[in-house]
Amino acid sequence: MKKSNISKNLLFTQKHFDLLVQLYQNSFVDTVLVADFYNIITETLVDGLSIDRASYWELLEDRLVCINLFDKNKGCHSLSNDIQARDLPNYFQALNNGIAIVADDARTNDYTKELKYSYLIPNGITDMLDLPIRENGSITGVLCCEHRDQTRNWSESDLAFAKAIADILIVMIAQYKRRKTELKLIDSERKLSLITDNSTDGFVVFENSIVTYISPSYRKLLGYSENELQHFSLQEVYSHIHPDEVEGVREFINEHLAKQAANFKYEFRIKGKLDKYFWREDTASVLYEHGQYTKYILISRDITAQKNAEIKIQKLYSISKIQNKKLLDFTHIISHNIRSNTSNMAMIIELMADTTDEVEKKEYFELLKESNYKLSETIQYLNDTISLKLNVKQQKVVVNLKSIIEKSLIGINVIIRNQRVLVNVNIAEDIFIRTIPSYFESIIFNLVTNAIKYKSPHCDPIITINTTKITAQQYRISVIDNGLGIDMTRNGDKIFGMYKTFHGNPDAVGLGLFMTKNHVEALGGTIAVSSEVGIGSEFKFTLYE
Amino acid sequence: MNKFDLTYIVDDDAIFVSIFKKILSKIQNFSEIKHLKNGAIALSDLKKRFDNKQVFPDIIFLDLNMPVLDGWQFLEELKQLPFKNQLAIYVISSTIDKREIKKCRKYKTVLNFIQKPTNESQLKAILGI
Repeated sequence: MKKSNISKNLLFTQKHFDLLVQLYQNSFVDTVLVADFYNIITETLVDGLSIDRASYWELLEDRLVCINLFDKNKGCHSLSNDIQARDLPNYFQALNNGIAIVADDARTNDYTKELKYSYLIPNGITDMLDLPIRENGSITGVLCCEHRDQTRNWSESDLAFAKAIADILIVMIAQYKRRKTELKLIDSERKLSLITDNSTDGFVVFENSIVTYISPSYRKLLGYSENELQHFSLQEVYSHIHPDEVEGVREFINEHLAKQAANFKYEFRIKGKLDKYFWREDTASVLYEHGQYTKYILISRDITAQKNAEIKIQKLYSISKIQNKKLLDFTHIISHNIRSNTSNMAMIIELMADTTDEVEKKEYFELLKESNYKLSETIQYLNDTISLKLNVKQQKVVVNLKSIIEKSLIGINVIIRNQRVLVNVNIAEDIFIRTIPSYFESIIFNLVTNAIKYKSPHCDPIITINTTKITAQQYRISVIDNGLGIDMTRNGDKIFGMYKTFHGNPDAVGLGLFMTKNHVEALGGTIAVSSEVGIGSEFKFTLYE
Repeated sequence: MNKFDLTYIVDDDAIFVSIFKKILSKIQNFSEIKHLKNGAIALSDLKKRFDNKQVFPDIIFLDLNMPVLDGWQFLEELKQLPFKNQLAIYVISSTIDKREIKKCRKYKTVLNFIQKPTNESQLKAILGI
């Protein structure tokens, strides 16, 4: 038998026509599963050609794998064993070259007899009409129409019908594959948007210094609506970077763009619409054309938690560093102050031992008593300082600023009157602060008594107490005097140190300002001084509301 | 035997000065002893002596830890003055900080460091009496 030629004037029978229309309509129904469609194809073939079996096979690597098989006698769909493709060279050559293998007697046909013992005889098949299924010109499968027992002469109409069905199958397979890719794409897009929508990380694309894309989650994090960030310029982005980092970041980026670096990374804080700052780590990927960057793609990672932890650690570290330094200073002070007393006592005792003169001995004894007193006094001061450091856990309470300052001054009313001191308290009635009252009173007491102690010999002391609001929760309180002043170039770094006095006053023990500083720090504030010899001093300390 | 016609003690600790004067009087080589309460007072005294062309003290005992102008500040300011090389200074302190003791050697005007507490024989040895 030879391959048949298809006549130019195909005429479907009415039955063929009806079946094809039905199949064609089915192919438009999106919900039809591909397995169902294979069922329809094989059943339509069996019905339309009045044959026993129809099957669809796919060529997977070196094997023909049965995808769907309908057997009219069994009335059901089943599958058949795989067939090795290399056993069928003539069969495949024929499929490659033509549009169908038409075998009226399959067991003797040149192209199908290779299947005689493995397939045809076991299945009782006598007639075959096989059509290749192609994708992009290569065979991907075979549509097989098979008949048993009686000799079947395939008509041109049969061939045309089978060919039409094969064409529909090809279209359906392509459509199915496309839908599968689409589904995959939708799925991966959904996964991606799940990541970007719920992540605080983000993507930003700049083209010609203008934002052309920002991932929705990042945009939302910054508090902007969809259209607000389109056409956001690079300059506008820079204006949102924290002042502490903006110059560094600008320099870093320009430096890397100049070098045409493809990838680089930097950290900074960026302000959202509501002026809230976020810590980001941006990894930039940059595309260049003719030496100019065209696309600037950012993967922006949220490092707020990390940064906050870092800042906390840094803060703790610097606190412990300061504490260590204080402790070391304190140890030196203790050792020095105790040593200076004990060394005096040692010298006195030696002198006492060396003399027999009773008058001299008595003199030394008096000195010894004095030294002993000084030593006890020193230890008492040190003890006061230590307990101050230990008591920082005292409860803070809310007090009215003006009334607590006035209360602090009551204790020194007599001195104020006797020394003809003018104290101006320029503080609004409605300021409340959270503080430890005893500490606060001690700060005011020390600063005011200091101002009086070191008054100018030329005029009556005037002391002014002011307050300035620095931030929403922070106040600065200034105590300004017109006294002797302190030589800042000589003593600026030691004013708040222990046992430092600057005026050689006999009753100055050098503890007042040291204690004051400790009190301010225990309340969480800082203290500073500005002063000019002969004009006066201004002590400023901060407090929290 | 070395004789010291004029001796300065620059120290804020009145008790130490009393004791030290006793010790010096026992050594008998010190005629006039003047106590100056801190570095600033000592510095202005020396400047006045220079301006009036008076004699400088033969020896100065300088404490380190003092109010107003401490021993280190005194030595720093002295560096700028024209008569710095005409003085013989001994730093006398109860400090046991090795860095401070070492620092004394950096000043050419400082002849030696005397550790408090001290006594007659130790002083004699250091001063070469």
